[in-house]
Amino acid sequence: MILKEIRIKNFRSYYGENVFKLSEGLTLIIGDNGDGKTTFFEALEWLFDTVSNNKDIKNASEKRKSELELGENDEVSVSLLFDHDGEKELIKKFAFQREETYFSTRDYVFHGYFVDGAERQLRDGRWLLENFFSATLRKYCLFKGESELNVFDNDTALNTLVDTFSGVRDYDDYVNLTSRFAEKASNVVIKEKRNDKKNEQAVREYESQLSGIGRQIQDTKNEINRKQEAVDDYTKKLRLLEDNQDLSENYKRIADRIKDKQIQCNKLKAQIDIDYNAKLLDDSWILRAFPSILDEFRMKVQKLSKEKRRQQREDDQRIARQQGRADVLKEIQTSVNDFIPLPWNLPDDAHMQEMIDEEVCKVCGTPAPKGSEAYNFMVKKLNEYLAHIKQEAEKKKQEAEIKPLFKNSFIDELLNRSVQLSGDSQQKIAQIATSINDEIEFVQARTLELEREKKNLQEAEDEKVRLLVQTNGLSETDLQKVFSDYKGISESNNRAAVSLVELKHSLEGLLEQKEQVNQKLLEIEPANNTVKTYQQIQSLLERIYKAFVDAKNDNINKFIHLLEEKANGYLMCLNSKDFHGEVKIIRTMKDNARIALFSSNGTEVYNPSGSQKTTMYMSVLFAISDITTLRRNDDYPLIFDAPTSSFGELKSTDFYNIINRIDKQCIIIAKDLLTFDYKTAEYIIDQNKVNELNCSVYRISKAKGFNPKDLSTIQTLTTKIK
Amino acid sequence: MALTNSDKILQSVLSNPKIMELSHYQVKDDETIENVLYSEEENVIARTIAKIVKGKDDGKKEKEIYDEINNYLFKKI
Repeated sequence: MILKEIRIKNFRSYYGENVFKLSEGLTLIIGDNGDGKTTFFEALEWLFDTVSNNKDIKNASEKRKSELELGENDEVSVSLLFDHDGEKELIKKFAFQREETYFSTRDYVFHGYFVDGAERQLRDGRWLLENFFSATLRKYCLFKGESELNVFDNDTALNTLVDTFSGVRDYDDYVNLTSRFAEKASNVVIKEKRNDKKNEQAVREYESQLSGIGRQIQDTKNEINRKQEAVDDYTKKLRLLEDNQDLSENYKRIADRIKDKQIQCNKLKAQIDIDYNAKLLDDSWILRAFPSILDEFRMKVQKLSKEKRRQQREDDQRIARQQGRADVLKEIQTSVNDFIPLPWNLPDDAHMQEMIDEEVCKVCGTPAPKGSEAYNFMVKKLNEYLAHIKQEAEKKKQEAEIKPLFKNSFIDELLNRSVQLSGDSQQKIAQIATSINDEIEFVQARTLELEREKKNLQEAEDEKVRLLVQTNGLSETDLQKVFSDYKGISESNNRAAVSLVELKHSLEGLLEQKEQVNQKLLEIEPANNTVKTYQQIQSLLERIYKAFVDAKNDNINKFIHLLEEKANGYLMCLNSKDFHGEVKIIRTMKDNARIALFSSNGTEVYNPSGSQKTTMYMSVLFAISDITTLRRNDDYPLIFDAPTSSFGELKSTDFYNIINRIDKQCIIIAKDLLTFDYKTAEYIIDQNKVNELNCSVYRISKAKGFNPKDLSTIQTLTTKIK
Repeated sequence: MALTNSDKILQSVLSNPKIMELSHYQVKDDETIENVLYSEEENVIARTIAKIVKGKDDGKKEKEIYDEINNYLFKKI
């Protein structure tokens, strides 16, 4: 049987029609948490449900439902195309319609088809499924999670397996039937012998002995059962403790990781929790855009200043020109007299007055009597001096009265402000932008880091959930406990085991006694040929009963041997780069068995790692699949949901390549081969790893833009990667 | 013709060393219930076992099967 194609339409997150074309080897369906891996598996479970006509609206896509208007309808369907002596198809579907306040469902169908080209012959879906992929087979083909991989997980598992896959079944019925025949025949013989007066006494004596031995046997058997139950219980507890000690350590590791990640997340949250209002004013972030304004301001002030200076210079030149003209005039006047006059202030007015009063020119040293030319010259010179003083004072007064071109110094003040804001201040303001950018970059980087840490935290929490699932119902509190009672239980177990061995030995002795008494009873000479014949019949039926018991055990042992042989072949392949040991199927007391891992030196590996357990169980499953092929001349696919949760990344890739090389159709749904993309803070397919694989790979992912709180925005996208 | 489950059970019991020693019956690879029950060469032990298997296969009641083999053996032994 080869699965060729699975179509899922409007089944929960699978909005619209999604098609998976399956290869004859391995098909990997990769998705992150919440991307639709389990939904894929559950869609198949829904298709394979032959017990109920489940058309629960919960299975309909919320997204599709949200699009329907009142009275509009659509359908949920899952179909499987497979090849089993020709193409066949199974399709299960139902319609759903929006009503006023709810959604109604109807038209549930489960059809099967024999496909011959374009021709399709309709069959009942249940009939087709049970005839070509029965529930018994499906039990050994579909596995949800690592915890379901152990096929010997219940008391009847061995018998069911042997009955299903050994090729011969119902031995137990024959063993029970012939046991009752032998007992019946024995009762007849004893009864006949008792009726013979000659033997009556001896028979009654042996019967009494047998009755006593029978009671002892029964008591011993009861005691054995009790002890066996105690040993089983202790063993189970010890195994649980051993398993959980390992799990407890794992739990501690995961819990520590969760704590660490929570601290890290809180730290990162604190780092990105910035009061931007405070930053705006306290850290002057408000000046973020100021440098360009300052540049413009400076440019304008500079322009104004330049203009002012230009105007000032022109004005200065105008005044200078006026002043220049006066000086030139003076110079011209001087050159006409042909001498260079003394400065106007020499001699000064005091000396001049002194020379006039004394009537002598002390400059040339000649007398200058009153009325003389020299005397008059000195008087004139004094008057000129005084006039000059007056003129200068007037001039100064006039000059003081000239209006300045720029009455105020606003431009200078602006220039000063511009100068003040440039240099260090400008540098400081420019640094605000840099520090804002730095801060924003820091926050963005921390935000990404936070996203990554949140993912890590989520993964750790998922790991914890998976671990708790493996603990067979043990609570977190139990796991946190220290398993201090291990020693006590171990001692009790040893005592019970010793006692059990003694009881079994005692039972053997009693059974031997019973056999001997029976023998003596049979050796009593029958009174007639009829009784003799009954005795022969009894003896033969006893022998036949034992032959059925032997045949049953032979069949189980042969099956176990074959299973071990094939499983070890696979175990070696799956763990080719690691310790693989040897799988042994060990029969337990109550006709069941357990899978155990042994080292080549004969030591049982009591506490195999998660991946060792998985490969061990999967090897057995592959072996069962091989035996199925052997017995039924057909192969069946194996479908696993998240079987490799306990694997490391490296092991997963090798594991998938090995499975792909095994000549067996496998569909594995897993979250391997994903890598965290720091740019988008999302998990994406690790293309390098995909390139290392030789199998078909599908990526399922949530469509972008969904609202985490709104189910109707969730849609699983299906992409064939390889 | 492919062997049925009952044929295989019969073969496995007839092949039991102690039964073989007792019955001297040579089991054939393609041994079937019909062969043992209706062959001209009658082997009492082999036929008794075949009757048990056939009786259960046919859905007969336990007492019915027991009476049948008991009567058969009573006549033959």
